Amino acid sequence: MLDAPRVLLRGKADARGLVKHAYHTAAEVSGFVITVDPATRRLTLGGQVHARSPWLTARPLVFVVTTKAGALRWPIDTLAVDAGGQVVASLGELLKED
Amino acid sequence: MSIRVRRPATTRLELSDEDYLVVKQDLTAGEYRELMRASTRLVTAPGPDGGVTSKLEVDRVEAGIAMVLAYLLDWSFADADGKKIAIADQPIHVVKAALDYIASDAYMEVQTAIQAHQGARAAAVAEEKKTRTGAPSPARTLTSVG
Repeated sequence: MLDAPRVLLRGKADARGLVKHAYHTAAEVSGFVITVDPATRRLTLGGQVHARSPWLTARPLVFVVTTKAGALRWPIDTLAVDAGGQVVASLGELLKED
Repeated sequence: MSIRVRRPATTRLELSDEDYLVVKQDLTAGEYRELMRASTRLVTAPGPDGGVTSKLEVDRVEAGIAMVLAYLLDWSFADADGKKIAIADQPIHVVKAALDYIASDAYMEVQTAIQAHQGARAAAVAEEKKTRTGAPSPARTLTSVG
């Protein structure tokens, strides 16, 4: 039996989720959840997109979670947003800080 | 049809003591408009016939911090314990709090460097317009995307 995806990170009130193209905010993502597939190690982002801008059509995109301590960044490999604003994106490996 | 959107590009500005800033090369229309809005204040004064006149004036103090907030993306600054002060991707109020937190001479160095960058970019863009031939311009903003 396959293991279900595990939650890696869930957005809280003090953590912002942003889709960015370089330094431009392409969209804000509320209620985001990042899950990891135990079998493939692939990361999937889900959430609700707000305040989307034309930068959302630009590539490459990065998903950024900011906290008081700093920022976590994942490259976005694929991204789909439905008519209701629900986003599903596959993420690459966590980017290292400079 | 001409391209009216610049690819985002960054510039590293070297400061004293091997510190540096990472700034936007250029601002978008929205960023420029916000900079103008944050740099001005409405001044009212008694007008003729007992009325009131109002006009917009540049607020020199607010204009400085607004310009820094518009351009600044990251820096190498550390706190008194040597820990980097995180500003990259942080909300604007966090960046402003960090700018308020650093020493005043450090802030003035930041503002002066960004002001010089803004002036240099304005001159470069003006020169580019003068020399434009109608052909699509080269992707000069691709040098440091990220």
